[in-house]
Amino acid sequence: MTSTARITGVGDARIEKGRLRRGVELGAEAALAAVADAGLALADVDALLVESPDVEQHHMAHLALCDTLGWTPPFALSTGAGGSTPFANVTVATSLLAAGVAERVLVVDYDARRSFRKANRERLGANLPRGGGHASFWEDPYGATGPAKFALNASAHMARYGTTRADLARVTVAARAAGAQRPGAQLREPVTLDDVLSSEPIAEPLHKLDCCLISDFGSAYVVSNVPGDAPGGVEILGLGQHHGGYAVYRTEEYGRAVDVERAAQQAFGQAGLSPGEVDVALVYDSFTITVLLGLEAIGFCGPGEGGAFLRETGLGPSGGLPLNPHGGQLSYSGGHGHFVTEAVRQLRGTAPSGQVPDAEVALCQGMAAGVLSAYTVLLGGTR
Amino acid sequence: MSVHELAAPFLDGAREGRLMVQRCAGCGHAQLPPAMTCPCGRAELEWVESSGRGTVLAVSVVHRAPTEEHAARAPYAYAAVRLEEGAQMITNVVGVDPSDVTVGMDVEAVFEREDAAGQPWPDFRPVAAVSPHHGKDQA
Repeated sequence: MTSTARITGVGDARIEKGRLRRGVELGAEAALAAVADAGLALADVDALLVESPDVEQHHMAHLALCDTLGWTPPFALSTGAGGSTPFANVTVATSLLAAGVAERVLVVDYDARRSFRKANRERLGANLPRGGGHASFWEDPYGATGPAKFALNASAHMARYGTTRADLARVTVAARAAGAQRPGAQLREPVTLDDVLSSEPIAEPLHKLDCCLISDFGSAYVVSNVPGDAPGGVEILGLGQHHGGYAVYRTEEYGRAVDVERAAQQAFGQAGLSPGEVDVALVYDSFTITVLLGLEAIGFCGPGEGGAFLRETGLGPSGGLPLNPHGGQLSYSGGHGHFVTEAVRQLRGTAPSGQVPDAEVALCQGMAAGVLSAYTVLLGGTR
Repeated sequence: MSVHELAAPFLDGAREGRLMVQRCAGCGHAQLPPAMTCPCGRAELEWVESSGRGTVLAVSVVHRAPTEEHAARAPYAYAAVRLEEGAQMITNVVGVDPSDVTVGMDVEAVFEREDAAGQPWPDFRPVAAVSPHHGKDQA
């Protein structure tokens, strides 16, 4: 990879219980933090990419954010790839830099889902709205839900390979152990395997503690190719993506994330690296099964071996595969960009907890549309 | 109101109790739901009637339903089924305790249910087991 693009600043909005803020303000807080972290002022940034929020919807979120910040850059755009948008935006940002459209790109994601659900609990129950942008003509007549889609993946994997609920539960146990150490995590109490197994069934085999958090969030990072910026910025070593479609019926094989396989292969190929050289993995953990399929597809273990891998591999900072040291979506936050900001902090050696010793290569694996839409980002420290 | 023209042959067939599948006249690939092109790259797509028989690829017993309408039926079996013709579809498996639906189960289409707009949609039920032979001494 010959790109000179580096991630030179990161920021996350501080979420405080009981303090409900609009998502766009969380995004603005994170944006200002990332810019300051990069040693810059807003005036130094010439491009802005903003993830289209799902719940606090706005058809031009990039400009809504600009209004809140009180600033507009020369280039501004909203992008939409669900929860994988911050991962996808690394490719978009580096492309803008390579094309000479901008020198410094600020990438932001935000939403206020927890506040929205709290305010609409009577009307919606425990579900987020499924109409509008989430409508799926061929699935909705059958009572489709987000968890049900992922549950199909789990069902097929368990039927084919004998994977158990307990295998999957290890993902949550590890995430909650990490979140318990992380200031600012939404959930800070560890859980046991039994806690996960005995939690309320949602869409079997997935139970409540197999499912990610619903959160308010704001994250941001700055990508720059200005040589003097933030010496020691994190390098972008390889990028990959692959898509199978939106609706779960586009799945080729339910117990396998083929799109993650192809995205990861592309990224590793560009970087000239292999899975064994990854020091810390930031894998989108919308559900426990998302992680299991992701780990197999990335190549940390073979197809069908995910259950054994989770049973035998330490996922903590000193384990065989350090995974989501901040607690991921299962413990830290249901937000999206924190996988990227955590990867950067790990590579800098500045993680507030769960620092992986001598982390030099981080893999960020974004997944959306179930596991059908995959973006892989390989980052390298320059310490 | 906009019409989902791509779905029309499926919906029309469902109203007659027939499961219709889109098939490529060029390569024979069958697909559901329908699309504008075939993966082979051509767009010579036609509709044929499915035998209605298929196999469960994956199943989830859904407890937390998305709407009141579905909550009234919960828990229900949400499944992916592969039809004999090769097309896959999302459906519900009915006529059996949802917890008894298994991956690999042979199922067949039934038209018993309509959505809120009165449009019938196919569910699937387990294919009835063949009765065991009763007389021990029969040749």
